Amino acid sequence: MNRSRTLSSVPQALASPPTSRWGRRRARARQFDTPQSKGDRRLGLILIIPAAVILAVFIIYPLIEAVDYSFLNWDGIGPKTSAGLSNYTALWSNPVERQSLEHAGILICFYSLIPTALGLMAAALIARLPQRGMGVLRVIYFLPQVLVTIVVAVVWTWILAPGGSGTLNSLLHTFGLSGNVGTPWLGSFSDALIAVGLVAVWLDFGLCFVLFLSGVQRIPTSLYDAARVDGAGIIREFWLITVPMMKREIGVALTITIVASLQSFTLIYQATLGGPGTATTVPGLLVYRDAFQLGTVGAASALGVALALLTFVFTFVIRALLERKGELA
Amino acid sequence: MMDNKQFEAGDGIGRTQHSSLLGGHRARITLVAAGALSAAVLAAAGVAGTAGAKSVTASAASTAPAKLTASSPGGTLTQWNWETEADDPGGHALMPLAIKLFEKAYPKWKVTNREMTLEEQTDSLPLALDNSGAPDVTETNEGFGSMGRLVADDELVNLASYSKLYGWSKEVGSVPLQYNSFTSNGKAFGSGNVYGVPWSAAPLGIFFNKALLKKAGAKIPTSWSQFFADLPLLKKAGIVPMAYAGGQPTAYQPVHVFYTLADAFAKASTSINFVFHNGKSPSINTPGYVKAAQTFQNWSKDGYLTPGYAGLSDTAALNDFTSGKAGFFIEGEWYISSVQSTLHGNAGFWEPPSITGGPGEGYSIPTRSADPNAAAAFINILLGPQIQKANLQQGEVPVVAPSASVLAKFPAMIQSATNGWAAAVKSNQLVPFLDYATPNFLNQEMAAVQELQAGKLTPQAMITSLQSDYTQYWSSK
Repeated sequence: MNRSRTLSSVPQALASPPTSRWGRRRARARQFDTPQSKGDRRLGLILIIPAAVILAVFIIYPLIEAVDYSFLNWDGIGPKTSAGLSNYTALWSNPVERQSLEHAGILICFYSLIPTALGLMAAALIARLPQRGMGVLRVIYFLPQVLVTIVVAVVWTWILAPGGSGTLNSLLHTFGLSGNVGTPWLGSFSDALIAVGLVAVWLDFGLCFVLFLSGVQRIPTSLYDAARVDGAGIIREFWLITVPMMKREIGVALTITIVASLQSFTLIYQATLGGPGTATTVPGLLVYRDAFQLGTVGAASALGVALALLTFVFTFVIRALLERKGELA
Repeated sequence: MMDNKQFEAGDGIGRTQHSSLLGGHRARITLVAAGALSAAVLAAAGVAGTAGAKSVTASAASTAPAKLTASSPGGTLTQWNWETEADDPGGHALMPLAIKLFEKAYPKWKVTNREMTLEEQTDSLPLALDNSGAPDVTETNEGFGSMGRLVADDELVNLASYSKLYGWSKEVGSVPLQYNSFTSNGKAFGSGNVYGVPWSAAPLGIFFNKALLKKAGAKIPTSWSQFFADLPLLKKAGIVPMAYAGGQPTAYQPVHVFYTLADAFAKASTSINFVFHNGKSPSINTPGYVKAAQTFQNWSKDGYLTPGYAGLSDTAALNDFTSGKAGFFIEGEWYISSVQSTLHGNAGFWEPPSITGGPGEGYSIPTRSADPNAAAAFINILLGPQIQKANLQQGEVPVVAPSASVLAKFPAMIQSATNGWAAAVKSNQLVPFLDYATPNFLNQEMAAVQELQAGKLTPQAMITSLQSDYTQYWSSK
């Protein structure tokens, strides 16, 4: 609380006039009505046509079709019969599907929250250091994002393998923790989801870090100087300047990584195939199974639509939070 | 963007994945891996599917089944298979021979050979067979997921008259053809009409390391009681009794070992009736199955399996066995060539009296085939003596039993597998892979075995849960 009082003096200097959200929007819309901007608008509309067509054909249309399929019993080729809401009720009544949604929730922590937090801290620390070598660091941390996920999954399967062949277990052994050497991290009911989650942290950390690094560099150093003059330490600077000034980047990072976590498939598919048992089953895996293995296109579509809705909800919540609090946006 | 990356990658896995597993079960099981393309393709498939739906111009119906003769009008036979070099080197090597034999017997014909990965085929067959670009003859996968779907959508020709014409059921035996049979609505498996003809066979069996058995004072197994008595002896001698893996990628040993144990304790007819859904309420909830599950759980508890098995892939288990670290290895005959080339005469392959297995993928004739008679003639070439003998040379079990004198020239392990297959087919002791039972059974079973081994399910609870999944599927059908 104390912190926010000190904070308020800094960013408000840069903030737009304190109108309400809707008032601001209306004002913006009115601005467009000048003759000059009408021409701009027409040109703008023409320019977005190619993108809009592609979007409509490859995203919007399939999405509408998927909604349509989700109310059907259909194998993809043969006759279709109406399924009513049964494909949707199964999302809760079927324990495997429900469990997969729970796992997706847990994985959001690993795919999104932890990498965002770590990335923020790393970026903030680096912002205080001299800039030399930054490029190299950026490349190294971003590398997991560039690698094809399947390669990442294969490599981590080796690292997490049980016995002497697993790099992690060999390391543990070196440090005298030989009790753990036999642990099959990806094959154990209690560890598998966390193991996959930690791989996801490694995967997404670089993305968040690089995103935040560019954000940190955008923050005027005068703000930090002012804060230091006021006697703020590293932790205060982080909470009072770095975090509030980077709300936009945080929003982007959260959105991208949460979407990635809800869509997670490749990593799980290669590393655990949802096992052991159903300990790491995620919705993406079930969508694929339903559609391609079991020929239940309706059930696959219902799960897909539910995932899309969840994604929308998360995106809008993040946006709403940022618009309300992040006056800089 | 994330999406694209993931699914491109998914496609890649499938390919590497089943290169390690050969034989019939291998290719069918990799349906699991097939075509990870998700919703976009799914939607596309749906659109095309409805657009091209059933304008039945079945050319098959217009041609009366007859044997192709050298003087019959010729043409080009479009032939599809998934015997790619990476996935099935044996089949890949045989394909040019089959084409040469066909073109020699019917000089007016040319055969095109289109090899594709199983994923490509699984993705494309339902749509390809529904459109004018359909091949004249193609391999199809057994089971509900692929062949059943194609039959239900009326994409395949009933092969009964060709089978009669060429005497296939006599050559192959009725059991392998049963694995390629569906009722014409695609709903019941193992009865009704024949839609595919296999040209190789793939039984499970038990590999053993003679040197290690000797070292432990154990005997080469010739009966179940001998086999079960060997395990504690190996353990006592400090040798891992069983090379085993239950993790990813692609370890199917959990189900394969479970099937083999079920064959030891349960009647073959119980499993056969369960898979083909014969009788009023087929059930595996029997003392035999519970005992199989109990034995399997005990193996985990007693340390009979490779340590850390839950995180190992099937390649790791194979390496364990071929590098002489384990006494036994329960898997399919498709590993014989790998074991032969590493352990040579030190290894053996025991086929118990009742075994699980299935024929390799069979060839089917699409409803839209331009010349079903030529297609049938091609299938018949594959069952001929040259191709069947060439199967043995590639380390595969031929689906047509070879003569004793021919078989005697091949390594002992392939002899055991071939004889074991023939004996089981003949005595009705060949058990289909239990996961044929319902489309989702493989997933349910894999999960159940893993829970059994981790002690999360009791043997009885595991069997009860599998039975209830099965009953639920059939009651909703």
